[in-house]
Amino acid sequence: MVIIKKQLLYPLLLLLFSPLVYAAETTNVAEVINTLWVLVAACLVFLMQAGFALLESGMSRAKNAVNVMMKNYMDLCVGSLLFWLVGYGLMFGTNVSGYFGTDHFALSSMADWTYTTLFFQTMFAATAATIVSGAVAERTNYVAYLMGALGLTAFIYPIFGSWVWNEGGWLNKMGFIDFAGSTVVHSVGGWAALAAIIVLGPRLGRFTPDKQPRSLPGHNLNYVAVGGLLLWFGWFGFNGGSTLAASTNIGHILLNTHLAGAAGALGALFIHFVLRQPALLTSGVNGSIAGLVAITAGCASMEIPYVVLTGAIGGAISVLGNKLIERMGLDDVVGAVSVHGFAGVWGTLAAGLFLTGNLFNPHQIMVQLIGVAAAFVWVMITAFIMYWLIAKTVGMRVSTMHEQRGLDITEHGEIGYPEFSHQAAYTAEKLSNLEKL
Amino acid sequence: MDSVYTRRAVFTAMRPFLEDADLLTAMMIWQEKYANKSTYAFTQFLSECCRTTELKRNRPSILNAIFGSLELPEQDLLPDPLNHDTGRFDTLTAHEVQYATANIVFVQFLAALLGNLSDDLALKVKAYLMKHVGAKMKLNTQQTFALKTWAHNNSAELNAAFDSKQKQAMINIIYIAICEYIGPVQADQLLAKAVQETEPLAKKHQVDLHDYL
Repeated sequence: MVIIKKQLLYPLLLLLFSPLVYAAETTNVAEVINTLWVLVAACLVFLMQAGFALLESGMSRAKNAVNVMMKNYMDLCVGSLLFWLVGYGLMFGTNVSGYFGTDHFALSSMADWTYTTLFFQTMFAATAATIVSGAVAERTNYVAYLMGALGLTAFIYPIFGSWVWNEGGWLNKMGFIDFAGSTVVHSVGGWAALAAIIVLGPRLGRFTPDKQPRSLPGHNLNYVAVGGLLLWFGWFGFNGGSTLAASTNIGHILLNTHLAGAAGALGALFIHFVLRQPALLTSGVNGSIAGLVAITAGCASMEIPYVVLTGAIGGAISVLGNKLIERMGLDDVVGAVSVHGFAGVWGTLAAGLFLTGNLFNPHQIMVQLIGVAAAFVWVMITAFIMYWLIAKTVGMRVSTMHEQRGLDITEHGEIGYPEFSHQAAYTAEKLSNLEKL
Repeated sequence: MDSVYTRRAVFTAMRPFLEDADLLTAMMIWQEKYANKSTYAFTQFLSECCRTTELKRNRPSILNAIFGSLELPEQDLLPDPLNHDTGRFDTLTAHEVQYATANIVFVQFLAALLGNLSDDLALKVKAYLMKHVGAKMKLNTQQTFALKTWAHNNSAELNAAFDSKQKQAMINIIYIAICEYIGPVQADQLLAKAVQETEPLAKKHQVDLHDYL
């Protein structure tokens, strides 16, 4: 049956991608198809940037909508260039020490397959960087944020990545399982976000004088829903592409990914039900993303019932984790720390717990714990130092005057919804009258 | 009673008691709020204008002077301080006119911003302003006194000149206080509402409210 499918698939693909026919004559057809699959997957991962931008912007107030979009847009640009320049070398260069790569910096001429992996991995690096933007929304200096994204994609993320995904990495050698990056991408982004919000402090009025959290609803829940769905769609490339080959298990991986996302949304809403709270759209969306984050580590090595369990617990963690963050007096605008950080930890542990053919192996669980702890320690220390230094030099936090006007005006001189701002204190036609801060 | 005659009578009566800038502010308050009211409103008008200790002490004398002026023949009154061509009071220097009008608009803006809060909350916000204003900007003695009078006596005027940066800082502190006490969403709404409520007055006096924001 498989052979018949292959016999049908190859001619069809060759027909569809006729310019490749000539290449296929001289190269291995499988290599071409692998390349195609990984590139398509990379493009899907790129689409996650749109998902993040919509979701984070929708969860922010209207006066900061442009700023959030701009941060998402520009961290992709900064992150991509820096990852090519430094990050890829640190992550995938020759790793003798087990801690970082030492070559492949600023590659300009390379093997075809290296172009492909560099492109794919660049999208991953940009994803790790953009996780922070939602957490720190509405009160962060724009330049300071981009400097943070630079440090994350050029240094913090690739070094940890080299421990796991580089053949010479010390966690890789221990047998740490993180197929597509529950820890490498998501927890790293989540912990960087945690360090950033500790340095930044909460938005004005986020907590009452007696330290109770106050809800600051986002301006566009439709964006949140569409952003969540785009992320979900992009995740098929994120997890499916991590095979780095057009292998036959992609269907299993994508189905696992999808079911975990669905279970995550239900898990989050179940917690609201238990707590007798309304079923919030934001929680449903965040729950599905947490489910997707959780399954990212073990999507290629878990059976479906465990996948569903992993996703559902991930979703529940996104709600409970957010409550913990609030109780700690921290302000995470989109819930990035619980969705990416906490759910990433759970997913990585679940990949060890529910490993097909080797369930609940204590050694594997220990390795997973070591990997998770290493990520937390490495990222928290380096990201905290980085954001603290930025705060002391450039200034991480904008002034209260910026918060009053909104960062769209103070950082970009624009208003997200000029036609609808007549009810606001700052209208589009009055922008030029405002004194520069 | 003829409104021009009454205005001239009020102006004539108050002239010996008030400094130029304060007199102009008083006349603007008169024009804004009391020009069309009956003579019974004089007491209220004076309680709004006379906030310093000295003026408070002189309030009965000023009231007597006003009633006295209203008995005077037209030729004994000072000329009308309102320039009918420009619609502005120009008996004083241009700078003083600008200062007084800007102050009236600013105080009106503050009143609009705080007017939508409960009395208790407004007091808390004012206390927050007084507590934090020193850290944000340097105030001279006159400014501090004027601000205290405004905050504690619910005064309708600020008898001191504040530049736009100082006004901006004051509004920002009030905004922070409202964020802390009732939340940033409502703070934004109240700020927008205050702008809308004060805009007509600001336009009339050619003051740009965005200088305060």
